[in-house]
Amino acid sequence: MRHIHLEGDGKLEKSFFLMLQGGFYVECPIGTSIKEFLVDSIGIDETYLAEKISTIFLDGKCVDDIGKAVIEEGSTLALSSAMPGLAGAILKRGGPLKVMRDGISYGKEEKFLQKRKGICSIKLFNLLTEDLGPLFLKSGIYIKARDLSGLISTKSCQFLPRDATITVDGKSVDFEVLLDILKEEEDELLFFTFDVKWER
Amino acid sequence: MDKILRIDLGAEGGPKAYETPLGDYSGLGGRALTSTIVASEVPPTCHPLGKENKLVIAPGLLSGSAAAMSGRISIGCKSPLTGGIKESNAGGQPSQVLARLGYAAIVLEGKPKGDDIYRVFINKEGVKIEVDNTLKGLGNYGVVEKMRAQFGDKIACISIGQAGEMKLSGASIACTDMELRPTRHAGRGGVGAVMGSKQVKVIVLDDTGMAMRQPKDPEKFRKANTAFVEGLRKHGVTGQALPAYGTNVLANILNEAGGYPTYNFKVGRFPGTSKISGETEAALETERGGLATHGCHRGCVIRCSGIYNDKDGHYLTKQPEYETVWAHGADCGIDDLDKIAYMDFLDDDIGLDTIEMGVTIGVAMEAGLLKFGDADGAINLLQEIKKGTPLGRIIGSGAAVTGKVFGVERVPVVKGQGIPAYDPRAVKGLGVTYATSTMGADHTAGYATASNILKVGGFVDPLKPVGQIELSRNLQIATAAIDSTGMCLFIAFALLDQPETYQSLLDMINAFHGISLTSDDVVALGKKVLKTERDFNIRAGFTKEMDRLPEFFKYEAVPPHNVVFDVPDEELDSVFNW
Repeated sequence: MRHIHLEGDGKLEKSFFLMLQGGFYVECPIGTSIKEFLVDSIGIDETYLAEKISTIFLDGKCVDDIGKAVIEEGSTLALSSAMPGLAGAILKRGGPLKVMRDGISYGKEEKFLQKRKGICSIKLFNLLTEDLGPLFLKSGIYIKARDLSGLISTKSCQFLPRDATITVDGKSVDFEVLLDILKEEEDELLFFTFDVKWER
Repeated sequence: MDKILRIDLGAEGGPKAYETPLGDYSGLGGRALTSTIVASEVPPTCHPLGKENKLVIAPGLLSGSAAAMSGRISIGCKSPLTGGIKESNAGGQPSQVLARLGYAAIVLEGKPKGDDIYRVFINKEGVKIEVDNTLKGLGNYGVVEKMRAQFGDKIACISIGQAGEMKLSGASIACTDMELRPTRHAGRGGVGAVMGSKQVKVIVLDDTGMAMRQPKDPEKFRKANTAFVEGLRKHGVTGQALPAYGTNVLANILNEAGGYPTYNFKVGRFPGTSKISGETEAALETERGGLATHGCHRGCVIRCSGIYNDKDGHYLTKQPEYETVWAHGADCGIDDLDKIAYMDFLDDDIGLDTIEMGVTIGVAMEAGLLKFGDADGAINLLQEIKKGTPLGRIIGSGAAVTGKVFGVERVPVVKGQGIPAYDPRAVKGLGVTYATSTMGADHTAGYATASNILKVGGFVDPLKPVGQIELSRNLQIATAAIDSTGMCLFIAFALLDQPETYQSLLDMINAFHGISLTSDDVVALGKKVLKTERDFNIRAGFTKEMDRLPEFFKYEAVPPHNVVFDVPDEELDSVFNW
């Protein structure tokens, strides 16, 4: 699996946030609760989790109790901040209107799975992309080459600041070479990391 | 705001304007005023396009003042789409300007003889009603440009496009925004067709020389307004999510929940959602030099709208909202934001409800008239409406008519009105509201999430399971009350979570009018409005059998969760039992 690493400024990093809404993969501890995963493994502050991550879906089901919902192999975990309107209020975790979506709420029954390393998919929406995106991009995410090329292929090389650097498997390459690699291997999964080396 | 301007289009010798005191309507604003006038003065069984129907245009209780978020305008009539009572509201500038001109409402009544069309101009000197046949056949943008050339740019306009002139049931009424563009629409229920039946193309409002409305207790009002604004700004939804991404921020989460109706309500997830989400839309607007954060009227502090530029950086339309992007996007299988934005522009120009048009085109796709995903075909259908071809007139008449003409069973409407962007099988509580609302399928009918604070029908304990019916009832009551204040419904989230923000809204209304409105009074007002509307509908011939979702929602399970709408009919019939 290829490792693509970029170094640049905060503005460049921000341009990769849109990719995070479509989903990416990370290593995760299977059999742990969402709360344990986000706090202990990812390093998200508990207060932030309580106050800002207001809407959570596990495999498309609205989660109310993040201490009980358990991550399984291949699970998709979607995280969102508070959302507007009636739909936003209904989907909010633990909200007073949760009964209005009881058909799609995560079940109350507790699951016990053997704890082990695995892979799950994460989707970050709205305000959380800016807050949590840097955390995931720094530690690294697995994505399809197609998803990365989909984001940057429409941009010219001016998209990268002159002092940004790209490495593929530890070797420095230029923007066009990166595009060629992504195009050739579009169905492959790759490991992507981004380091902010300076702010403008 | 102590008088009503009435324009009798059918008067002997031509249209005549006259004023009446508020009388029994005193103390009412927004939806409460439009629905009360319609229920009292319009025969429920009249033809919606006939001389006995009336079009009522009313600002809110605080419109024209310094109160934040007070710029909604309510437009009411008997609906040609549903056959029942209708209140459709919009943002933009007209509410503020009309209120400063001193009118609690404009009522268009009667019907002209002949086929002339009229332009109404209102300023501090009075009202001028003139024949202006040069406006015939123009879209809203063309009409407003002509008015700008004639009256300058200190005006606000309420107008109809070609769809309203053709009296199509999908026709909207446009209100101009801060840039004097006709982008804010009273979209639902075919209110534009009723304005078209009165042969009024545009109402031009000019408040030059008129002062801002002043509160009875300026100091208390100022303090309450400040607290209200602070409450909105500090809340995560009204202070961050809506300004940053607009209402389309909902696309990703509804899609994730499997409640994002796709391919004419066949499935609950759309593969192209990330291409049309609020996050993508906001980034594109910023990249092209548009705006991702912009208000629709002066005094808006949430600023959930924006400016959408084309690839060359030129203005194309205002930021298309969640329901618009969904209707022309996922529901039709279209994932091209530029094409969706162009359809938003066409809807605004021709004067069409974006929800009804998206749902209708989805039904046309189901019928095989064009393929799902065919964006150019969808644009062509809107152009057919503009040209007034027989096909265009069918599409412009909405989803129910189009479904009948093309023999489609899966037609997502309630009381003839297209169902909006939330699948009622996934979010069943919304299904209850769609089914039972006095307005037909309407996501805003039970939108006021502040029902907990209002304690409508008893406090809802978040720790105890409460039925969908009770919650829908409470939400509909709360929404009717907020619609009657003329405040933007997006304040609801801050009201739900922050009791002090709700109190500051009450304080603001009380300080402005010198009254002492309580939460109980607000609840009573909401109930009274709903009862009035429901009574009108019953007199118009509505039965409980019309408070139902289309049959397919009961037996077609929607993926990915494979759920059906299974709230029993008897429970739906108990929504209005209080």
